[in-house]
Order: sequence, then C-alpha cells, then structure tokens
Amino acid sequence: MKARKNMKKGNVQNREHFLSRFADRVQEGVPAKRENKVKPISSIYNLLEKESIEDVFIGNARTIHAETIRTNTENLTEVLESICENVAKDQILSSIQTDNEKLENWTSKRTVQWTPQDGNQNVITAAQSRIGITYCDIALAESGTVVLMNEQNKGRSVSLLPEVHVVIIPKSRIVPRLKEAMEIINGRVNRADSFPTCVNFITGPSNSADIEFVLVVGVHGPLETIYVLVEDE
Amino acid sequence: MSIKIKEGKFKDRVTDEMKNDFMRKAVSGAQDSLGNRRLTSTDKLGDWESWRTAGSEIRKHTIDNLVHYLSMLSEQISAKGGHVYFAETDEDARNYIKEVVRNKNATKVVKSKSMVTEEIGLNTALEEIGCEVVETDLGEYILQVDDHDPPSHIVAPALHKKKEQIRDLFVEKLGYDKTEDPGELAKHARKMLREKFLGAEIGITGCNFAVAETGTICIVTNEGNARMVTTIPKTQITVMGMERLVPSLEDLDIMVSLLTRAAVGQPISSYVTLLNGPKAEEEVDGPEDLHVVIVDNGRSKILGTEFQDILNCIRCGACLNVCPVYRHIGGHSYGSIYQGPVGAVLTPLLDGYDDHKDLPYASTLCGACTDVCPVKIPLHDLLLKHRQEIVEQGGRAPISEKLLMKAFGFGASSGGLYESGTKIASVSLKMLLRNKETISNGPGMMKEWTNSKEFPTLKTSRFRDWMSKHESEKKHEER
Amino acid sequence: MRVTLFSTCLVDLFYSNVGISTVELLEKLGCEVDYPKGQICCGQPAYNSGYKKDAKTAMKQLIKTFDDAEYVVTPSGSCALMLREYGHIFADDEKWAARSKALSVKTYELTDFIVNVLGIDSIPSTLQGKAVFHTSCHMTRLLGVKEEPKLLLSNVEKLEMKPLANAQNCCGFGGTFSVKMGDISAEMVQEKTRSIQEADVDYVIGADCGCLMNIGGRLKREKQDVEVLHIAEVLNRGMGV
Repeated sequence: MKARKNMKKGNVQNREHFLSRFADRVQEGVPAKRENKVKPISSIYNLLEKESIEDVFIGNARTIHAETIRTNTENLTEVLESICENVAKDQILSSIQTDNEKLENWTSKRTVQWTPQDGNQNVITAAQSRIGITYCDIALAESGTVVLMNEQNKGRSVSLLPEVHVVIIPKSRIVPRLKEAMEIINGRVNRADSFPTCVNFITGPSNSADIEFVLVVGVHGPLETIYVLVEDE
Repeated sequence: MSIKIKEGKFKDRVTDEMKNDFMRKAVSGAQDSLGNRRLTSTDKLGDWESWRTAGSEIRKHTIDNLVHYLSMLSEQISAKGGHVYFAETDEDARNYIKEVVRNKNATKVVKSKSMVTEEIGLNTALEEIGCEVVETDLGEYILQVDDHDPPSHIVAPALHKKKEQIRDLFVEKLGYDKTEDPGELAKHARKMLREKFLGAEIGITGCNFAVAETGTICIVTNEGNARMVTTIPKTQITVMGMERLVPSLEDLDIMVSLLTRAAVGQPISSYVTLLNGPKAEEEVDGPEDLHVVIVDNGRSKILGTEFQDILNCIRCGACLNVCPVYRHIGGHSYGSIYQGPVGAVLTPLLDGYDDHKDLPYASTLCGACTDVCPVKIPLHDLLLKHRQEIVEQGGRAPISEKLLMKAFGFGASSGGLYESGTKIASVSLKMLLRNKETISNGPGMMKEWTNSKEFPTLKTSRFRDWMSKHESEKKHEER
Repeated sequence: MRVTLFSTCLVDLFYSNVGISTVELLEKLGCEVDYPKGQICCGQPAYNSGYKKDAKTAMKQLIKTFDDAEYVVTPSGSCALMLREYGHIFADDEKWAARSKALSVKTYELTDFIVNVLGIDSIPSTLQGKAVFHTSCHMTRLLGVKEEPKLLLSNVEKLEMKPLANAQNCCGFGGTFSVKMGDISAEMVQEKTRSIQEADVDYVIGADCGCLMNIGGRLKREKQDVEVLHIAEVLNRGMGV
C-alpha cells in the first residue's frame, strides 16, 4: 500500500526482541492463505428474498431508537427543513459532499458547513450545535447501521458532538450487512492514498446500561438520531 | 490497580459478597435478561454454531501465527504514520506511555474502557507524574469517582452498584442534586465528562481488535466515549494485549458479529470505530499523533502451553453471564480485574497461583461457559487443567486431600479393598445416623454438605448385593 | 441384546433402588443384563479435583472390568461422560489407548441407550402427578443427551411435565465442589429448590444421582413435600412385563 501524501512513517520500537522471546512457540514464516472451513452465512439474505432491503433497514433502525423519514431527491430539502424548523443556522452543522445542487444550496443557506480551512473552530462549532447533518457512505440493513467514512472534509465531530444526528441515506447505499461494508472498505485499501483514516459504524443514538442494566439513550454522543432515507433511483 | 484487586482469602471474600443481596439480585437479573437477548440475537443471525466455528478458527490461526501478524500489524500502523511500541512488561508499557505524555507536556488525559490498562496499573502511574486521568465509560467513571472501587464485570464494571448509591456518590463528589433515575444520573455524567473531553490533551483507548493487514484499530462501544477519546485530543495512545488482533477486515466482520451478540445481544453496538493511523494532514479532528502500545505482561508465557486457547478470548463477558457460580458470588469475590470463568482461567496464568489458587475450584465444571463462548474456548477444561497443575506442582493442594485421593485411587482399583471399605463405611455411617433416615450434622468435610443439605444414608444392602441375588435367581429360573 | 451395567458408586452405596429399576427396565425391554463385580468408580471425583494420576488408577480398573462388554450402560450422564473421556485421557498411553478408546465408544447413558440404540421412544409406564425434569449439566451440555429423557417422559401416562425456571443452571453439586465450596453450593441448590417450589410439582425427575442427592438433600432439609426420582424409577413404574 502506498502511504498517504507527505506521510512520515511512524517508529516501531522493541519489535525484534519482543517477538524473538516466543518465536519458537508459534509457527514460523508466512502462513498459507487461509480459508475458513465453515463459512457462516447470516439469515439476513433469506429475509431479503421476502422483504425489500429498505424495509428491513427501517425495521431494524426502529429497534435501536432511530426514527426514519422516507423521502425522494426532490423533497429532501423540505424534509431537512422540517427537521430543522425553529433551529437557527448557527445551531446546525453539516458535513456533506454532494453534487445535488438543491441540497448544496440548502446546506449553505441553513447550516454552518464543516470547513477544513477553519481548523479547530469546526470542533468548537460542533460542540455548540444542536443538530449535526451527515451523508452516509454505506448503510447496513441487518442492524440499521450507517457507515461514515471520515476523511478530508468530512469531520468526525459532526456525528458525535451535536445533540441530534441527522443522517441522509441514499437508498442505493444500503447493503445487507457488515460483510459487504468490509468488502467496500477493503477495496479502498488497494486504492493507495484513499484509505479513510476513520470509519464509523453508527447504529442509533449513543446509549448505556451501566446503571442497574437500565437502558439510557444518549450518553456521550447524540441523544437522538434521525435517518432520512432518500429514494435515489 | 493491577490484576489483583483484593487482599485476603477467596472464601472470606465469597462470604462477604454473598451477604450483598442487592449485588446478587443485580447479577442474576442481568444474567437472565442478557441471556434472553443473546439468544434472540444469535437465533436471528442464523446458524450460530457455524459463526462460532469460524470465530474460533480465526482466533486460533492468528495466535498460531502471532509473530507474523504482529510484524504485519506494526508495519501497517507505521506506514500510516502511527508509532508502535512493543512492551514486554507492565512497567515497560507504563514507562513508554509516561514518556509520551511528558514529551507532550500534557496533564489532561481521558480514557475509554480498557482492561489491559487496568492490568498494567496505568492510571496510578500517570497520576504520579501529575496527570488528571478521567475514565469516560459511564460504569468506569462511577467506580473512579467512588475512590477506585474495583470493577465486578468485564463488560458492565459497576454492575454491583445500586442507583441510590450512585446518586449519593454524585451528590457528595460531583455536586449533583437530582434523583436516582439512571437517565438523570447519566445526563449529569455526560455534562461533567463533556468538559473533560473538550479539554483533553491525550486520549487513551483499549482495542477490541487490531487488523494486521490494514493496521486498523477497531473499538466497539455503545456510549460513544471511545469516539470522543479518538476525536478530540491531539494525541491518541491505544493500549492492546498482544493477542488482540485478527488478520483481515473480512475476519473482523465475523469477530464483531460474534462479539456484540455474545456480549450484549445486539447485532452490532452503537459505535464500531475503525481507526487507520493518525488523522491526515488536511483533516481537522482526530489525533495528530498515534501511539499503539502492544503489551505482553505474561501473555507470551501461555503460548505453546495447554492453556493457549485462553489467548483466543475476545473479552465479551458471555461466560460471566451464564456462570452459576458468578451468579451467586459476584465479581469482587474473584479478587481480580478478570472475573467469572475467564477470570478464573486467566488470572492465575498472568499473576501466578500464589494469590489465586482457589479460582480454578470456583466452578462446578458445568460447562455453561464453554457452551456460550463465541470462540469456543474450552473454559471448563482449562479450569480442570489448572487443578491438575496445582496438584502436580505439589505443595499447593491440601495434604489431607492428597491422602484422600491416594486412598481413592487405591480403593477404587481394588475390588477387595472396596468390598471391605464400603462395608466399614456403611457401619460407621449408620452410627452417625442413630436411627434417622438421613444425616443432618456430619463430621469433617461432610459438614460442608450437611450445613445446608441432608446426606443420604448407606443402604443396609448395597446394589451389588441385590444384583448377586438377582443373578442367582435368574439362573435358578432358567434351570 | 447383552448389556453390561455400570451401576456407579452412588447407586451402589446410596441408591440401590435406582440400580434395581435400571436392571428391571432393561430386562423388560429385552436386554440381558450383565454385572461384572470388578467395577467400582469411574474416577471422576479424583479426576475433577486435579488428581489425574490417582484417577487413572481407578480408570484402569474399570477398563479391565469392561473389556469384554458389548455395550456399557449407566444410569448417570456424568459417569457416562467420564467414561467417554477415557479415550482422550489415555490417548498417549500405548498400553491403554486402544482399550480405553474401545470403552469410550461403547458406553451409553441409559436414556441415550434406550432411544438411540434400542430405538424405543415410548415405554408403557404410569406416574400420576406433576413433575419437573432437572437437566444435568454434564449430560446435557457435555455428553449432548438433551431430548432423550424428555421424549421418554413425555410418553409416561398421567404424568404432567412442567417447565422449571432457569433449568439450565447447575444445581451446585459439582462432585467435590459441593464439599470444597460448600457455601456457594448451598446458595446454588437453594435457588434450584426455590424454582422447584414455584413450579408447584409432586416430583423432581433427573438422570444423575449426584444432582438428585444434592437437590433431594436440600428439599428434605426444607421439608418440601416433593419426591425425587431417577428417570429409571419413573420408566419402570407401572410397567407390565
């Protein structure tokens, strides 16, 4: 794999001595390419023969306290507007790369846009925002999960610090499960400098059951998650 | 904290802990509800057995080829700009991390949940050089605020605490003035911790899985604290046990699918974060500097021994959630940061038998742990192997027990001895009975039984005596 | 069919009625029951306490005793499991490997033998009342005999089987565990007897005398009016020749 642009290699310390201490107790050399003897297959594929992938996604999202609003490309900005009703522009942060002109116009008019040139100010804005809007790269039907590849001008904080996380999900990006997502990510390993530094699988709002095993929704991350599912074909 | 968290004898701790009714109710309640959730989630996935098989194959392959995969992992992390330090001992790990912190002139540290940092006593080490170290997992935070009360469950460290206790604690230490409602308590912790996150200079995380082929660090949480820790501070230090890796992203799919279901019965947790090196130059948030500390601290001693399978463990806690002994004695009885069946296997391996020789006996060998383990570690077998080790090492098993077992082996291999022995026993037991049907107050070791249960009497005639009669009657009939 | 009975030490010393029922039942099902007197104990108490060497002494005695048997049948899932392990335990012992493996392969727990070797899943027997079945851990999880006893019990006339809360949890016997960790064992069996009480039944039925001795001992201490029965006793009840 090629390194990222201008990247300095990191140091590796004490590896040789560390490994030499037990090298004689494990296998030597490069292992042969391994194939799992048993290939586990999720039941999700059977389910997808009977139900549409978006229905399965929405059903599973509901169980993890994420509300899904369905719309189409045409009406997307109206839906976003209704979610953001009565929330001022400086309370809404977005980090979206899109060639949908209408959406681009709306975000520039109604939201503060994540702007790498502004550096750490972006994080401060995120911490003070009520709503963070992101555009997902992949979504998983099996678990109602959205996948955000945080790279370049897609900030990690947008989906994390605001109280409400709104995710735009193009229907075409829903895949059955984790397996397909890993394949997509793995595909980018080979595309040299484009391997994302951070990939987040996000499944609903943050939660905890650390006090008496009572589920509390909303701990460190967002208190609320809204999925906007867009029919993009 | 280190591996050992409590002084004193195992049996004394058990006696104390079993008086804690709340803890016991909390543990059994958690076992029951998590059990149901786990089964629902695994049923939904399909043929759970095939997933377990695949998981155990991946883990075994990784450990069998650990030198190869650790080399690969460190190359990949380094290629992405991260630094890797291989720490042979807990002290090596602490010193390296202290050095990183000193070089940054940092004093504000936030941590997400990590068992291995507990194991190496990292918090105390950093506090000694003037750092404020804040645990940010809600359960860990509660324990830290409560003067470092030890964890009692690998996944839910504060399981033994009542919400009323937590409220009182928050009132006393954190200026809290609301009710014991878990939602309100969590909201207060959120507020307190948000400030800490935003001001932190160093973020320290554990690692659920590292992916050798891509140099990826994978962290699994529900609360989102690990995301905070890896998003805001400019320096990230990830501490991982040397066994916590998988070869590829394809394998990671299987391992995460197993982990979240086995641990909490969820198809996936709220956050699964994959980190590939420090942030890129053009990015805003995420660490500028990434250090990965790979810790041995006794693990490599296990390689190549009959205990090697325990290195396959992915710390899901499922074995605690089904263990009928853990159910009654709770986590603190084990006296270790690793509790339940996995703790009883791992603790003596990492920290020696001297302080932990009772742990392998804290099991009926019922096999519930082995049955539930998502990577098929034969936990009850490993407990048995510990017992054999303790006996064979000599000097650790009680002498009276050794003599008894010698006599057992002798008696159970000689028909004549058994014949006379059981007849004598029958007479002496009958004397204890004084015309009663069962024994209510036995002597010696039998007292352990009769404290709570009746002991049956030997029959006047043994089964084999009846059988002899029966056989001769049969022969007679045939004639 | 010739069947060799391994009665187990608990049955020999404390529960002769279970042994008698086993013999009568097997005979009624057309088996000829053989009982070599050299048999003593499967070695489990020593083995599970870590005394492998001493246990092996007992095991060798049993291997010798059962050399000529065609099938070894035992009314205990736990002892059957121990015998099934012999093959592994002696795998590296040139002298004993083959003989121990042969014994492992021909050993059956009673209900496993009835259902899977004799091919019988219904035995004409009668027991009036309500019962719970205690699933022993070794038999269910490690030996893998799960459905056989339930199948046989479902065909007993007038017997109503009821569910037992947390049936999967160990009763706290665990062989020497019950005296080594007496206090923990006590708490475990008390939870079991509470579940039994809540089930409101006349009988607790099991297939392992160790568990039954433990549960029965506690029920008796609590003066609960519940009869403890081995499945061999149930299947042998009211069964005509």
